[in-house]
Amino acid sequence: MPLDIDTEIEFNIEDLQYDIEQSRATDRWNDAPDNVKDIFHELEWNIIEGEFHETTDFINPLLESGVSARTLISGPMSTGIAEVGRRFKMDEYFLPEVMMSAKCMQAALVIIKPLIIAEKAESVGTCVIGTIQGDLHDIGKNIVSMMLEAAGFDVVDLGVSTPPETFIEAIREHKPQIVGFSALLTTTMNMQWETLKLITAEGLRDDVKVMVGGAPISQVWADKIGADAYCADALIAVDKAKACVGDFKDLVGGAPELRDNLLAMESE
Amino acid sequence: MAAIIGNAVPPQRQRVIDAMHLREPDRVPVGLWGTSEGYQNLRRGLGMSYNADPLNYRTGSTTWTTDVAFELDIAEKLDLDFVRISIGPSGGSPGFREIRYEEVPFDMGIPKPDADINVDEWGVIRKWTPHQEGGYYEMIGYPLFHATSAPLEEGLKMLEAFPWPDPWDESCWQDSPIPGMSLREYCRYVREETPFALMGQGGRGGLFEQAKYMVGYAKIFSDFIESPEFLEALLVKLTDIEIEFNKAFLDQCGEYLDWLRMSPEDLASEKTIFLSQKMFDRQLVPHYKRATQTVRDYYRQKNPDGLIQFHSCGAIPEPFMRGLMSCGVDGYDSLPPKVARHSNPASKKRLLGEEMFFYGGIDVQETLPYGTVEDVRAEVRARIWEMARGGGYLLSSSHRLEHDVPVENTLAMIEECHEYGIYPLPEEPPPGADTGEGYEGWQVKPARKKIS
Repeated sequence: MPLDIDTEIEFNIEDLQYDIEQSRATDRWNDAPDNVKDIFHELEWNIIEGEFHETTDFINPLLESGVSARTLISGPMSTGIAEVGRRFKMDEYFLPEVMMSAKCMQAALVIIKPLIIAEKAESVGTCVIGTIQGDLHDIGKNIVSMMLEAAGFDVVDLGVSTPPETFIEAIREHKPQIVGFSALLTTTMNMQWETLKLITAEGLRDDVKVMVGGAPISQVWADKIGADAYCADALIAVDKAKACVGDFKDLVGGAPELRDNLLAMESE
Repeated sequence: MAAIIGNAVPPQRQRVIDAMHLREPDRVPVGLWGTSEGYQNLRRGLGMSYNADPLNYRTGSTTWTTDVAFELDIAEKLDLDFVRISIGPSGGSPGFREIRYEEVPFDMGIPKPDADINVDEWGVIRKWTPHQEGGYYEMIGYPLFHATSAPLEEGLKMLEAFPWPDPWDESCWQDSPIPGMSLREYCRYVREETPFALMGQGGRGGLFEQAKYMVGYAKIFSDFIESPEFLEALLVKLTDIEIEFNKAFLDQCGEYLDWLRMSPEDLASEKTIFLSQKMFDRQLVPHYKRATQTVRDYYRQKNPDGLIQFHSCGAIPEPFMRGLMSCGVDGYDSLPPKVARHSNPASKKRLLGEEMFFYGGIDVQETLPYGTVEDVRAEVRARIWEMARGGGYLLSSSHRLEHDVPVENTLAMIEECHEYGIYPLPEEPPPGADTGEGYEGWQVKPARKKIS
């Protein structure tokens, strides 16, 4: 049968120019000096378009003109990558495009990270994050880790197949407000619970908020094991992490009744 | 009609042939596939002899997979309609690893192979990652990662110098699920002495799938934009090998196979496809076309009615499915039912059911492992109602049966198919069936930024 696909639609530089102009027409960053505002818009579009070889061409002049690293992250880099996320959600972007945009973020973070560490006082909080034992998958966890860093968290990344004991040691050493577990497989997700049980047994449960995520993870699972937050994607992870540190003592994880019911079912 | 050796076509095989050619058979055909642990679990539960070490069942498509070819006694006992066979390296796996490891040309900082580390015939390095009742080999080393990161000319040289597996390695054909029988003897036995239809898989890597394994998951996606020339050269090479693997396999048993499955490709997540239409059409479809059409032509010389089945997990939207069909694909597995609605089994049947047959469809993510027997039966009824009208549906699990699927659920799936799947099918939709009401379809929106 004939394949009815228009392959003539090419990348159009005029479209990009139009998009940048439209973006400039908004009142975003109006309080910034004109030259800075211009580069902000270009950096944002550089990330959306995934032109990672050129990312540093925008970052360096901005830093030289006195823009703080944190402003860069929470400003054009955040809006750029958020737009990439939106496009991915809407089936406008697919994995190749997202990977290219992630490379832009990485290129920018290489320059910015030391500056953020120097601005230590402004750190939002500390987060220990890792893929749980028995699971070697880390693409999603790395994205969450990067997004948390971009949002101003100090992230201690424990890598893949992290034994529960390593989480305990890391909690004792780094005193994080948040611990994040990642798992990709239904066969390994149970280790999230085991790790959480060990944290409770070691008497550290009240010191940290526990966030869980990964393909097989759901709110029901988070409720069942008694985690504080289920993070469906990286952007939600950042929001919930901010909520965790912002309103630290008042946040109660899950619905207690649901959790009790699930536990009762489990023990039957 | 395929050339039948001996007497009339047995009802089981006739059922499968009718369904694949989009005619209504007497009832919906049913079959199984599974991991070795799942298979061991099933045999144990049925009180049949089983192998204490599940890995001894391994006659799958590469040294690392836990795929298994089910033995014929189980097909007889459960009254199945078709069985599967893959080309197997089981003759040579343990020694093979060591040899290949030495041949891998690039230092990847990977520890020496031991019980936990496996290097397959492509040089892909995996680590044994156990779960409660067995485990998986998870990838940790990608043999062409450095090649794709290098400057193009250098990368292409590394690609050329790479020790690719030999598709004509005779040890691949020496083994079969029946001890002492070669692949060819086994396939002839199934065709001539048993009533079952036989599906074969001769390739063992695939194109995009193996490309992912060769350069790594993160890299392959950016390669579509960053180094399309390297990706193109890699896919040309992998297509050549896929074709040769299939030719070698078909030389052994092509005339005994009722249909052929190309090497599995995973092209989509549960939400949607991995790539945009433009990249898919330009950078993948030409390779699929060459592989499928060459293999199909070769197969049709052995079996003029032979059909080609294509596998992908996830949710492939309709325009992409049509792209695959234009490559010469006749059937599609494995229909995970809980993906985005634009690509769930019912939508696939509604949009493409008059042009291709489908295989799979019973959920292995929730219903089979965690559901009750009644849940399984209800899902089987819904799936048959959605999929089987006018033929075109072979019922099976939506992926391999794993060790966590209770035996009674597997049996319920088969029984319900035997009972509910008798033609003519009821007109009234059973509870839970997707009747297509409120279906909105899948469409790409233009990549235009929303100005806030």
